[in-house]
Amino acid sequence: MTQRQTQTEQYWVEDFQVDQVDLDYLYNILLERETPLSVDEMALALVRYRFRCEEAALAKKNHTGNVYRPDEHYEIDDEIVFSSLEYRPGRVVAVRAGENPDYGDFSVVTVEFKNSKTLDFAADLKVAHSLNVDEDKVAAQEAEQLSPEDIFIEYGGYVADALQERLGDHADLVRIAGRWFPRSLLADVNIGHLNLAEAVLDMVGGGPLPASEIVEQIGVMEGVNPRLAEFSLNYGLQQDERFDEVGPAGQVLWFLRRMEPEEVQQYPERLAYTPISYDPNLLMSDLLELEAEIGDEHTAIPVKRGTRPQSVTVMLTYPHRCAGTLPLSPRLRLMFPTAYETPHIHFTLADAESGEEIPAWVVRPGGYVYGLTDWFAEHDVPVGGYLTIQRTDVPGKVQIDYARRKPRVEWVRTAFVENNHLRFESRKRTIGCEYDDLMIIDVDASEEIDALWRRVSERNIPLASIMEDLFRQLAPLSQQGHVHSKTLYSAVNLLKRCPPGPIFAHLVELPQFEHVGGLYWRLVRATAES
Amino acid sequence: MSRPSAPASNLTKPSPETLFHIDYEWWERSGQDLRLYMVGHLCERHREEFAAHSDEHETVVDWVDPLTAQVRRVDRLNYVLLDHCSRQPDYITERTSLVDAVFRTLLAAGNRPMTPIELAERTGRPANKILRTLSGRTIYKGLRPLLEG
Repeated sequence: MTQRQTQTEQYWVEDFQVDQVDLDYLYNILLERETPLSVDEMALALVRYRFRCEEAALAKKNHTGNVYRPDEHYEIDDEIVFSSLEYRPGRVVAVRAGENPDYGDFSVVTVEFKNSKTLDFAADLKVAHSLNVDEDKVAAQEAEQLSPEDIFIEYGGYVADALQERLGDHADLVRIAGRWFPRSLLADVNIGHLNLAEAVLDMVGGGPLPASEIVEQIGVMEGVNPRLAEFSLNYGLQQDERFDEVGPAGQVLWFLRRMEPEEVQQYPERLAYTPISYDPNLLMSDLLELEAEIGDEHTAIPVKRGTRPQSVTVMLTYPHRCAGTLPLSPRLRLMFPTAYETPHIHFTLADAESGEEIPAWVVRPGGYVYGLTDWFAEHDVPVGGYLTIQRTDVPGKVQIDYARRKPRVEWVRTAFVENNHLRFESRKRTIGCEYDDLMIIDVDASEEIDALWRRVSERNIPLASIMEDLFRQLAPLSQQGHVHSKTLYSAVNLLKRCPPGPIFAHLVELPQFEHVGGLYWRLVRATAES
Repeated sequence: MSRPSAPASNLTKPSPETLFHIDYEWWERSGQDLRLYMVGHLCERHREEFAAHSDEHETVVDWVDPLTAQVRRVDRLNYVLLDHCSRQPDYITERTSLVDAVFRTLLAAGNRPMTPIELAERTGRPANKILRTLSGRTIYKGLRPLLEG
């Protein structure tokens, strides 16, 4: 029996290549259906096409004639095709008795091929031979065959990957939000349509709206297949700088760029980090664990594959408190909507207690989520306070909460500016949120701290000097003069945006800091610089 | 021992896709004893048998190719090689010389022509080494490129 290639892993995984015939076939499907297709939809179509092609080829072979079998009886003038000779046909021109006691009685037929060459073949052979097909086995194998849909489930990902690479090379295919369509078939979208689209978005505060709704409101493109009209407008909007695509993966939503918050368009100053090189091998295992626990967006921690958590708890840091943002750390990234291409994703954050909906943005290039300035202020969430992000059943909606508790007066670490230096002391403050005792820093007169932060940035003061100065200020708050790594990270970020990695590496590497156990350090000698 | 070289007109440069076979006419022209050489490829039991009954060599039988069912008329010596000796695990080993390994491979396949790549798969020797050995001016044991037409 001929092995069906499309039933094998090798065909789809190792050998599979998209050729021009495949692309022409898919292009024709797009032309016929006039509907944009995703790469997965095209991969399934391609699997079905390849399956049908193979079936057709096999059917053709099986009907080309009488396929030779050594156990069959043949007479002169019988026409036979030979599977071992790529189904070449031949005609029996002579028959004689075979001579070999090992095989018993059998015949030898002489077959003449089209080029007049003759070859001898066995016939009436009683002993086993690989060309003698077991009909029951064939039927069983046919019954066990994978359908094109089964093949797609098994190997569709490989086909889609191979397809994705080739589709991009096609001159006439355009892609929007993972769907492909021939450019030449797009409905005409002119400047008038785009101006009307701008007006529609302007009226709803900039967006977000799907193209289908914009098409409905501008009331043009009548008589065009609705999906084609939507895709064409999507393409037109994508080419125009005025519009920003802000939908999560699988959705195309449009927003007027000029009406997007400034913090979405531009990186908030407070979050800006100039990478500091350091040797990660310096960090001992508990520092690495702490680094992962803090979850800074600039800490590269490999994401563990598996089920997405239902909720994630994080600690608020000063830069994000100022910017009204959350870090898009590897853990938090799993909680927010993502997208195939678009850098900005508009979604809704919902207050867990009040249900109040807060328009928010995932800013993928910056690695943060924006939209919480007012919410942080309203609930007076302290630096070091615990925030919980929870998924909901509504797509594009994520719940946020802080660790609420009955407000009470406590002594907390408080930062203030004095003589151009950041000072710390314990002061009484009313707090209604559970917090990390090592991270919490209350801020007195944030404008003065911001002014000091700006001076530090302008003068480009080295991290080591900032650390040493802050260490000296923090040490008197504990009886032993020790400072925890986490507290130093929290304090440094009042004056300079920096992930924990470089801070921890400096603690390990610089002679002025001495490890005293746990994750605590002490200052052994001050340098002249500080 | 003198070996006949290939006629100059046949010297086209072989490639890894070139088919090689045992050229039995070369053996006739060379005057070497093909049968004696072939006996050397038999298993121990059959080598002794053929030494004792050399007159049985001339008996001709039909051999059926296990893959294609094509029939070839072969003498007893060839038949024993095809049907028994070539199926023994020590037919081709690491100690078998490259030329003998190629010769044995082709014998076992009923002299179906093969490329150096196919021969490499069956002998465990590098294809480039097989090609280099078989495409030089010296013809070893009648192993030559198959000339079409």
